[in-house]
Amino acid sequence: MKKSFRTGLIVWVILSLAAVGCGADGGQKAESPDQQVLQLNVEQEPTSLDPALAFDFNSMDVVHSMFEGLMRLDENEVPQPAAAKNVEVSDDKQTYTFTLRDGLKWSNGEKLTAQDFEYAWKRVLDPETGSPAAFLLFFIENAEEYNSGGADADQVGVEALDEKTLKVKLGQPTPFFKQLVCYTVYSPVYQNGVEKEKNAFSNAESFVGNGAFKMEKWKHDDRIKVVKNENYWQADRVKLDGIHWAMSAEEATAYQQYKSGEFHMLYDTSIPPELKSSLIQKGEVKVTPGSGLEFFRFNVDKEPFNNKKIRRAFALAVDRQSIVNHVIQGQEKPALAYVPPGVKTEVGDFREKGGNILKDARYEEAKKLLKEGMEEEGWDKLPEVTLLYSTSDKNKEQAEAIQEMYREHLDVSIKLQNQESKVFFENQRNKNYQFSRSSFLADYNDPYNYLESFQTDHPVNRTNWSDEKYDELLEKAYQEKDEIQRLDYLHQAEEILIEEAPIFPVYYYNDLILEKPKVKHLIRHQVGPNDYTFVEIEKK
Amino acid sequence: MLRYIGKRLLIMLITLWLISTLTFILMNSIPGDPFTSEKKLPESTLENLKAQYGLDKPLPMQYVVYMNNLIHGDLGFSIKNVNRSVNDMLADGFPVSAQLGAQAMILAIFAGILMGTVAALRQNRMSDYSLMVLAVIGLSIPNFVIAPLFQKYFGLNWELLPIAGWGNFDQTILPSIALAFTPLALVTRLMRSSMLEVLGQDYIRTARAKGLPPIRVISFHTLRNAIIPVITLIGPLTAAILTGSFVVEKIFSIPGIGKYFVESIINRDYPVIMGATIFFSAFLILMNFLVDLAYGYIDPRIKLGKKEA
Repeated sequence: MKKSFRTGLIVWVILSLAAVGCGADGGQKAESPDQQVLQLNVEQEPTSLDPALAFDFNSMDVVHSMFEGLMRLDENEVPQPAAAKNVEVSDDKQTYTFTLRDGLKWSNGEKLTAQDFEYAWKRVLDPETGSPAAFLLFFIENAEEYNSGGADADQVGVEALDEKTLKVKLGQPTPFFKQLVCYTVYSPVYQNGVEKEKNAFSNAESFVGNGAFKMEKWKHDDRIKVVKNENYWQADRVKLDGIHWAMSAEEATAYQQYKSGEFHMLYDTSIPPELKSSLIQKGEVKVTPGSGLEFFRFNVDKEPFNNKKIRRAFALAVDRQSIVNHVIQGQEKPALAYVPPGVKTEVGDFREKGGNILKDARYEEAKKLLKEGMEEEGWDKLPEVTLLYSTSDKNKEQAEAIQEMYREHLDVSIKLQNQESKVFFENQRNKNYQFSRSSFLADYNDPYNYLESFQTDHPVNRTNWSDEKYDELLEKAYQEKDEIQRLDYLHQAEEILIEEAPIFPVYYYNDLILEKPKVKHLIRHQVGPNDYTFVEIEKK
Repeated sequence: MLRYIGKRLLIMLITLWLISTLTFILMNSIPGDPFTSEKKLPESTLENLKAQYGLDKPLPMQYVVYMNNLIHGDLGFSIKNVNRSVNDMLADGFPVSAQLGAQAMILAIFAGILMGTVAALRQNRMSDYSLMVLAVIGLSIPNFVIAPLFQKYFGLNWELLPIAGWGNFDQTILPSIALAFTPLALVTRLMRSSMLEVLGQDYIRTARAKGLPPIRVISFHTLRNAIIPVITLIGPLTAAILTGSFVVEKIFSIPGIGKYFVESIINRDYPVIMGATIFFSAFLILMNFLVDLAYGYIDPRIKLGKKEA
């Protein structure tokens, strides 16, 4: 027995050494200094790198580096020709004819044609694909019908006339169509590859793209490496040798990696919340306007929010500036309308033109409206109000701040309730709430995208609010060919939304970015993924 | 013995079936589904997606389909990470988690036994006190506090070891130590007390009296008997290291399977919830079984499969 015990020990030690030894397979080493490799953090395994399926920011960030659409947004958010060399728009603004550049190639060296675009767009719309971003193509004639099974692929208004010409017919004038064409979901796909291999975008070997970079290595849940694509039409202008994405989901870790030089850049989702305000003060974090806003929804079918005056009272009794200064602390702007600043249209910034609609922290007016509202309804005491929010520290602090404002200025005490996020969304969608914290992030940078949400029975409405005039204005804007007229309809609609107050805005989102100063020529957009094509890492 | 093993295996299978059935029921009773989010997908897209993953069928039907696939070793596809099979996810992640777990376990057991023994032999002296203070610290500070501190000092400030990532041996050091921290303290304390108990036994005195060198007394007479409670601890310790790995893997950006366990539930990624639960349960059940077998080997007084007299 003594002997067997000793043998057991020896076996144990050998096994443990073996376990320890099997680790070395060449991990993330520092790049040699003359290599131009951009090191980024994608936080977690992307949902999908298929341009038809990628729809969260992280996935699109990677996909966008390997694909190029017909057009690309420049640093002023203006669409510029990319894979297309020019585009002609018909007089009725419903037909777009794109002409492709000469000699375009896929990353595997094969010829890229207009048919690849037609194939890719119809693939996105194919109900079988199940693309979450398909609705971005619904402006094309019969696209929505095809996606919901009511039309054939042949009826969709996109057609490759020859190898170089793509004709697109829209269902209505869509002034922001050129902008849409810049987004990842409008990327071409390599038809032969996708038809041969069902999951062509699930591993590095079969991945074919047409962007400035091509897939080199994809180790799931660990890292993604792309390298310069020599077959890209302006490869001679691309300075980077490649981009590496690591997946550090923990903010504190990502931040320390950034500090140690392992990352060139971090987004606010990777910055530890407790450090945000001090990093902003130190000037280390860049603050740029975001593409969405924080707001609160009322369920207008539930007492007391069936009464407009009471809704208005709740909207006016919130001190947004104080919430931004003390709770959120990211230098956000208080939201006194629904569409954030920076939403550019052909005739300028939508918000600048519309100005503020609401006023911040109007306690006296709020008190008066609450009193009038209660008289209208014949209430001596306000029905109990519960504010619902999804569980997070920030949401909790914000809800408590608002609770305190109502207690102090309206003499109303509301209850707070938090739920895990999927439970919360399920309840919000089923309108199983009275008053709830909400947020909106734009899918494309146009006021229509913001305001369409509150049409009657729109899936994002979720307030039971319905207003004929509002619906009519949105429909008119959708069909309008004249840009000034269209924006006028949208301004009117926004005023109704704020006046009727099925929702009230709190603050506009900002994007916070930590970036090493040596990274140059990186183009960031208010909506949509970054453009790394011409990035250069300056040598010290 | 074979009969005993056969019986245990059968019980293990039944346990596993119960766990998977319960998980299936519980998971489907949480509100929300994989496609619930702030944005709402168009109704037609939603229907297509649900059909793709078989979520359009009634629940009992889904259960039958799942169980049938499970028997054939097919855990299905992740809904969040499109086109990734759960089998692949577990096959890619498990070796990583296993290496991390094994290193932590080895560290905890060997260092723990060593420290516990030293403390017992130097009872009520300075080295005993300092080791016990260390053990109390290890028990009371959770690894999600230790880990970032390690990263800050060893990684960022002193640049001795990488902050995060996985691949080279140096990247495994900090996470292994962080993960081993609490189990190490447990083993040390247990080892110390059981060592003290054995040292007071008559046969130790006999061994000493007949003039055996102290090293022999300690290694063959004392250690061997004192180690039995520590073996008992290996089962629960495996559980502790598994659950600890969720946190440590996330902090050190390690591509193991720990995160699937937590994130799949947040994402309502049904196939991954099932896959991860079944895999972890099977692993734990198997470890407990092996520990039971090891008893019989180390302590001849324990007779497996025989009714107690």
